Amino acid sequence: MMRHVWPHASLLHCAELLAAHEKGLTSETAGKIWPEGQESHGPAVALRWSTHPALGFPRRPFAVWRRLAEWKPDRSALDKPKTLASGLDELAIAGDELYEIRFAVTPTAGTTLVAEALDGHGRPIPGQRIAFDAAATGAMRCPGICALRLTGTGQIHDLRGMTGSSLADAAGWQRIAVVGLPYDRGSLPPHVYDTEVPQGYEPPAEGGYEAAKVRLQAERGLGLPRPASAEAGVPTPAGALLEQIRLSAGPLERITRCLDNSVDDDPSRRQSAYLYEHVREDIRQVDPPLPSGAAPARAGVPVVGVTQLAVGSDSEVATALGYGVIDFPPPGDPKEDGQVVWPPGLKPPPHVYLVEAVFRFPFAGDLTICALGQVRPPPGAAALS
Amino acid sequence: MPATRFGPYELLSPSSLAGFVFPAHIDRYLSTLVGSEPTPLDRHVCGKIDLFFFSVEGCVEFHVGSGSHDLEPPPLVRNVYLQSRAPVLVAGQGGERPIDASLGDARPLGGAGELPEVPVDSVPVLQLHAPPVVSGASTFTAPLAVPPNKTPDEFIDVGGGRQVKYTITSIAISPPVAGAGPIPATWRPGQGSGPQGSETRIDLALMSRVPTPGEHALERSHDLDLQVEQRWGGLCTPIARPVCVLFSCCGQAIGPSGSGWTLAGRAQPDAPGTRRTTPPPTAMRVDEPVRAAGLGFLDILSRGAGGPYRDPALVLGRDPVELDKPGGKQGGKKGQLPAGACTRALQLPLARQRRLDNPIELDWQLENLLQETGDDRWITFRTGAGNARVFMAVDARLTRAGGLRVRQLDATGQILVEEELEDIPTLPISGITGLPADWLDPNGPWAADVLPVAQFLAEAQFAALKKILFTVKNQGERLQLAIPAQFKDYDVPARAIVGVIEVCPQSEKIRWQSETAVADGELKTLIGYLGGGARVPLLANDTVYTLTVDYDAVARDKDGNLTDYAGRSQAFQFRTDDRPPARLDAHVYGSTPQQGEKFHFYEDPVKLVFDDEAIVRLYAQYGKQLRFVVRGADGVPLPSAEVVDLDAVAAEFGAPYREALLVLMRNYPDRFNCVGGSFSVGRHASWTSPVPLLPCMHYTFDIELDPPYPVPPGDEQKPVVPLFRRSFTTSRFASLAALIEATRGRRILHRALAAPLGFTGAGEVVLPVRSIEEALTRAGEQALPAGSDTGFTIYWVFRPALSKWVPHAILIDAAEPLWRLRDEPALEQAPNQPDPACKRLVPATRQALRLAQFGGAQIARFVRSPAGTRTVAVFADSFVPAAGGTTIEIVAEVLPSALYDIAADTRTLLQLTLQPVAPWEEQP
Repeated sequence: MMRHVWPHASLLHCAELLAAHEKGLTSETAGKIWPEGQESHGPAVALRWSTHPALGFPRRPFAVWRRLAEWKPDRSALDKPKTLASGLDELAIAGDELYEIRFAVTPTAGTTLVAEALDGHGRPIPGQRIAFDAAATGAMRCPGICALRLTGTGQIHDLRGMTGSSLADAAGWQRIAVVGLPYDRGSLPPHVYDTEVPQGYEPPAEGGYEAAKVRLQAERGLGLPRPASAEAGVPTPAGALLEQIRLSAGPLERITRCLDNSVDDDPSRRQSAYLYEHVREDIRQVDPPLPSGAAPARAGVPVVGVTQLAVGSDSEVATALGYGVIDFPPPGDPKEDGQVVWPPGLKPPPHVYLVEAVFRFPFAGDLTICALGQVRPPPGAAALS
Repeated sequence: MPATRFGPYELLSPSSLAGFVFPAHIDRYLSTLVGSEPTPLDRHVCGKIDLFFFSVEGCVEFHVGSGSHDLEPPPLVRNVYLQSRAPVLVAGQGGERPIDASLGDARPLGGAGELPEVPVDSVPVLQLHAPPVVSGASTFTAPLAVPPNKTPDEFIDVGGGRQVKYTITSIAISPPVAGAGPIPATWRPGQGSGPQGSETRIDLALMSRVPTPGEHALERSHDLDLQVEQRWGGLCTPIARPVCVLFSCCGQAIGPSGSGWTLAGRAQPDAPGTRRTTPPPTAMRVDEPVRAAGLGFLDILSRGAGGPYRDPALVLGRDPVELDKPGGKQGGKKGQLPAGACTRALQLPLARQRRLDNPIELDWQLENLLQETGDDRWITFRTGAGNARVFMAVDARLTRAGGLRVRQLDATGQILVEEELEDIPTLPISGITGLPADWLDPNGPWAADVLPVAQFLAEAQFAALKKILFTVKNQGERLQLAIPAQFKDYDVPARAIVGVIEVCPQSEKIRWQSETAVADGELKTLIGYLGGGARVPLLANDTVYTLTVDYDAVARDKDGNLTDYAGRSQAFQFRTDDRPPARLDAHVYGSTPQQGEKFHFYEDPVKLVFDDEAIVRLYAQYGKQLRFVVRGADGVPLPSAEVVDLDAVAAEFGAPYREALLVLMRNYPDRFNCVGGSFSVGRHASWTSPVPLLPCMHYTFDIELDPPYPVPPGDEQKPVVPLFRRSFTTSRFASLAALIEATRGRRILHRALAAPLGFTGAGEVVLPVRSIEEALTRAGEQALPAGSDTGFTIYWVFRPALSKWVPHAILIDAAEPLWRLRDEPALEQAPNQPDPACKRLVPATRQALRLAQFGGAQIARFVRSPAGTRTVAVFADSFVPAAGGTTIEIVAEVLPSALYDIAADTRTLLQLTLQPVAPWEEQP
């Protein structure tokens, strides 16, 4: 099935865990997961993804893929050098959105020329900014690039791009994990969620719950921040988070209700419209006194939106609910065609990643929606947007 | 999360909200409803994460409680209480009535329980839920002023987005109360009450001009000063004229929102020296189309498939790169808008289509569904009614027939007026040319907002768009700009970009009119309070009164829908008592002679000074007179007199609230230049006995009730307690003049002392008689007999440095005190209060008679006995009589008293010429 790269609906964030790697935790953690596994690893990469709430939950697990980064442009916006004289220029690139662009610039002597990648709304993409003081080739890698803005004077030439769609369908991707909701195998009928699909690191062979425990084990082995427990100074024990998620009336039960009570190809019964009714008898009006159980508090919880909020703001929850995994890649050695300048703090890892899942739409049927990995700018480097 | 109590709700368990994802947001978003209980509470608790390419949002719908949002407006009258009228000025003077406090709540008509029984001068106070509209109300009082906490549109919030307006149609009392003139009624707003305050309640005091519930009860203090300043300080400051507000997208994040925007506007500054209680509406909500839940996939799918989709409304803009900064970083300091933050404009939703390399073929039903969503390219500005000037850039196609539409909507979103942009007069704008001068005035408030926008829209990227300015006289509450569904432009989307909107809201005109009306009302209230007017009538005694308030109410829901609740009525009852106060002490400010006086000159008047004149009318209302009865020790019957025809006496002290107000007016006359006239702190009422007195007689005078109440059977032997009593003894002298006259011809002795007397101090020094005698004895004087009669002795001492005798002191013995006091309250610092302004009026005595040197300063001190009959006038050590003699004159001074109408008087007690040599050294 053709992959559709939709940055406007699905995002994948990648971060190399360099500090953990320097402490030797990468191999140590990987050794616990694969006692017989490879001996040499590059820095582990934390992967977290989010989908637009309007898409709902996929009813099968996500597949996570990796390949070595490779510059294979399929777009060219400038046939000949362009002189930048007005001080502000925007170069739009028609067709599919780009995942990577490269361009050569020559600032006017003694001046600075700033290049920014823009999205489809003309907004600078956070972090994708390079200031040139001398002639150089710039490179930016991020899904959703639609244009390049240049502020300053000088010359630009050889603007080329690689579309996300061409990369997604390129050969060479290697599946590294199957990641989904932490259901026990066989616990739900397939029309609700296909729990029979084996999950876990490649080759996947576990149920969702067991696979989630391994993901959390990997995360903790690398020393990622974990949420505080109820006891000050005592970390939440491994597995406790999963148990909380699987509690009665907990997040997983809400998700199950949502999946069970929605129909993805019916516009009036999409998952995003489903509200889970949460009744709390311990929140009530006290004046005037009402009999116990009368007029309790009720909350209508939009399950998809609230879950995506939790996934998007809590690393462990994302891992537990199947929206994140740690990759232990082999050492990378990407071939570079010459010296290129990346945005400060955004030199990409040697591999690129892709996460995909099948979503069902009214009038369109099943579509494989995927997201290509992007590196987030370090704190403070993001532009005002 | 600890158990939290918010209004009528309580979270019973610390972990109650653990099941929700973002409990920290709860407190911020939940608010309570005011009104009848049980009360429901509905809130959306939202969280949002901006992932740049899209955002994730979840809103939990939270509902607590029972009942319905369609509650009727709460009753206008929360309560009626009867306020005690006790014009007590002096601390500790309180009698059987509380000061300014409630005597009880009137009983709702038909309610259970006893009727409160109150004095006939009680003040009925209506406690209202909110300031009502009173114009056109029929009341038994003078026409009501505009309530000082009136909101501009007369609606008040009752929670849940609901508002209520009350209109009083009638206030009646039965049986009627008759007065000589209009019966006053005065608003008393609560602390912090005002159009912007959370406290909307207000009291209406009937039959009173006092604008505060604590006129007498509140102590003089800094807090009271502040309270007075808060309410009256700006009385004469003109109300700020209506202003316009300019809105831009300054500071807004670039990109789409998904849930609209709230723009921060900039208002024209008020003219200097003006005031307002309600700020201009500088926050404007901007709405955008939002897909129904479940249909959010439409645009995502169609966009991803390469089909037509809605590009949402978004803020365009650019944060300029400052090339002189390392790395070409953007500017902006913490806490300030970065440079270029005003380079913003708001673009209407676009119908777009991005051609993909491999589009997905979409089902025709999807396109149909997209079509059915229809008229969804709009943005709505919640401007409120009023004129709006819009500066925007538009695709030329939108300026023609079938293009952009300008809609005036009511508060519910219904279209009131719809015009095509083509039909609206527009001004072409080029750069900044054509923009209103006041927008560009570098000294005005708006240039910094307008110029970046105008420059931004003048950039090459918008060159194809027409820049225009047009004005809309918006009759509705909202202004909507819409691209109709029929306008097809998928290939080249037609852009409509709003740069700036200036709004001259109708609400500002209404605010100005309202605040002006309130100011007029407050001015009348203040003049009525300070200036008084016709006597306020009293209630009839032993009568059941029914107070009825008729009113209409209108409720307005959050969508602007109105519901009438006309013809409402509330009635309350209370009863007046049948007996006047049993004691007068609480109403007597002072008397002369004072209690226990032993030497009252028998021709000096006997006076009673009441707190105010109302006391006599109070007793008269019960059919009683106050009768002055004086009895001498000789048993000879004396005539009695009715206490009538009181004389007004200007008060030195008044009610603390009134005093604080007058001090404020005196200190800031320019802030009260609209008031005019002069005002006093109040007036006491004085009565003078016509009964002549005899010398050297003990008297008791009483104020008695006339006619007295019959003695109940069995109480015949019980003593009858008068309303008020004073006892005193008269002097053997008719007056001070007579006392002085009696000293004439007394012998003046000269005696030598072995040493000075050793008295210290200056002015008046009070020492026990024994101390004075011991000082004289130590200095060589023989033991003195008691000063039974007036006599003068000049004491001389030898000054070795001068080698001569010099006058040292004069001993003055008198038959009656030459130093006297009278009762007059005085201010003192309240004990144990850190506030230096906290003072209270306490019973005190002041000097009434004293001795002094007249025409010279040779006497350094007057040392006197406590009784005032023996005085030693001590000369300064440096005093040496002149060669030709020095005349010394000692006078008795009567100190004036406005309270008792006593004039200053000075009588010579002793005049003699002292020679430079002692009499015994003179040559024969």
